[in-house]
Amino acid sequence: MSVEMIQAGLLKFVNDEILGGGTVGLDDEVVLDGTVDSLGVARLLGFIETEFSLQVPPEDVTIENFRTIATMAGFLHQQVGAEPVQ
Amino acid sequence: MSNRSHAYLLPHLIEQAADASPDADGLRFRDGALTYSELYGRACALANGLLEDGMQPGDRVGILLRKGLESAVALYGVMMAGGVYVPLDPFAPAARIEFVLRDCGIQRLVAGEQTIGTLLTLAETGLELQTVFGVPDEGVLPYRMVPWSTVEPLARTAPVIATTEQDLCYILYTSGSTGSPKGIMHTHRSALSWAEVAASAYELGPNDVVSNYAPLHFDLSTLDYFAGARAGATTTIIPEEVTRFPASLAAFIADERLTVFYTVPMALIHLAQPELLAGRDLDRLRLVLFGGEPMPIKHLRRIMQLIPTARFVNVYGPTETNGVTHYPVEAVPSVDDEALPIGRPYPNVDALVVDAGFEPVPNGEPGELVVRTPTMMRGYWGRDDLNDRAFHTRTPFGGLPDVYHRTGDLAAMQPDGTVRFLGRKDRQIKSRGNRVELDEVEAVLVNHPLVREAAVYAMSNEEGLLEIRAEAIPVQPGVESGELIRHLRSALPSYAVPARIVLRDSFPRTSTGKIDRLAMEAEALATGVNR
Repeated sequence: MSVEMIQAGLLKFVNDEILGGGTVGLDDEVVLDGTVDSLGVARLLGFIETEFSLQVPPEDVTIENFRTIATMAGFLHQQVGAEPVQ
Repeated sequence: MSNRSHAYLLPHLIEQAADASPDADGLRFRDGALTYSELYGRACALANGLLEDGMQPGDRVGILLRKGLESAVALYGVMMAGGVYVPLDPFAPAARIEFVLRDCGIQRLVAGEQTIGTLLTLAETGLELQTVFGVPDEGVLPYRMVPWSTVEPLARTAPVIATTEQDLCYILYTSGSTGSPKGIMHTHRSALSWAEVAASAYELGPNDVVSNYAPLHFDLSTLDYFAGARAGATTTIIPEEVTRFPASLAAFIADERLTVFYTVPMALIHLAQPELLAGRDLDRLRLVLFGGEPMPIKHLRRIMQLIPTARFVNVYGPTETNGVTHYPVEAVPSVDDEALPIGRPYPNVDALVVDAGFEPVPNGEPGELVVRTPTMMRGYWGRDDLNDRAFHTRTPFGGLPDVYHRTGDLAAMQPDGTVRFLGRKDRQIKSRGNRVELDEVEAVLVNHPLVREAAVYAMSNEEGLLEIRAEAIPVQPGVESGELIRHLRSALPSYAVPARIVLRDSFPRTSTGKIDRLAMEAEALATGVNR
């Protein structure tokens, strides 16, 4: 899976599902600016699990990895590479 | 210090701390800190700025700020000038903020760069304000703008004011049953009493590092700030984004060397994972306080095992009364489905479980919890209709009347003197620690033109926490639930917005044709969480 595909999936989920029609971009600091709150983070993790078959270990759910859609996608892309989908 | 009036007010806490240890850190936030003398000096300067601007005693001043050192300067500054601080949720929709501003007649705000967007929206709606402090004048807002650079050079001595202990010091807004938020008024006396009770019950001292997890508009913050200042402790403000990431929060607790952590059950549930806490140096953390909603036992057991050196205390009390009972957990109950007791009343608190006729019920019997405490609110701002119902006066021995607050919570007194919380009397629930009226959410959903009928209820999710669920009957096929969520988000704070809306053709009904929400909950339970 390419990093672009992951980015597109996350963008759509955040804008359509979490925000119900948002206009968030790849580099918006969605967590620092409060767009995505704690419930939003939980929903994102659920989405990542079903969409990318990836369980993010709790210790990796950090501000650094989830700061923007771009950092999330970069992190997830690494994970997919490291642990191929079974 | 010199200008001390005879009254003992909330801001005197930082004056005393500044006298006792001027160079001790009163507050920390990110890489910054304020010593008690800096905090005192900056608050004095703001108080003088507010008075120069024409602020009158008892005026409400809104605080529209993200968490930070300025928030603390603002709340003490407002009170030092004889004002009443009203914290506003910077993440709330502008319409909700506007409601609060209009409801209590706010003319002045302390705001910041991060909330300018909200200010612009408010200005577009035609909201009138006199002055905004803390934001430079860029010529885009129709208000008098007073930046910090103008405030800072003002006198760093407290103005002389005529405020007394009985006067208001802050108003906290929660949602109300009629669909509009209601302002809970506290006085210097009630707030100081709580600071004193909490500082003494938890033996807070100058060496403590107390967390500030909750935002200012959430009543948990009053312990962090005021009990912390009463003890001369350091209050360390946890940035909003850290509170959203358990791994980051775990690192923060260790790195900032917190000794006291006051939070909500949800945060502890998310923290209770070995991957997050194992190997961290948490030996300094001596006390974990939690409140706001019930803590599921199975999660409490896990977190207690992961932080074995800390003492865990369940704190109970509505915003109307501050903390009234607490339960230091000695032994974790062995059965998971048992509720954690809310414990015994703090000193000077009288807690009764009464029936509909306000007569105390026998031990073990359910009834409404009513409390009498010096930490009790004055009442709801401008809502005498609610005030009549919020208080009950008893004269048990024919003497002076005792005024109790009716919590609206169902409870039972245990034979050992501890109180067990059984739930809300009405449909007011706690979502992520915030109070939500389910009927209010329902009303907003039904307001949408594409919705025919709606039902909102709360049920426990897999983690044992209450989750808001909504179901709706659309007026026509092809309605998207995203559209309805968007509608709710524009009118309600995020914690009141249901995680999802299930669209359906019909609702289960009672025999009288009413929507049967209990049946819906049962259906949802039977079909699992992911229906």
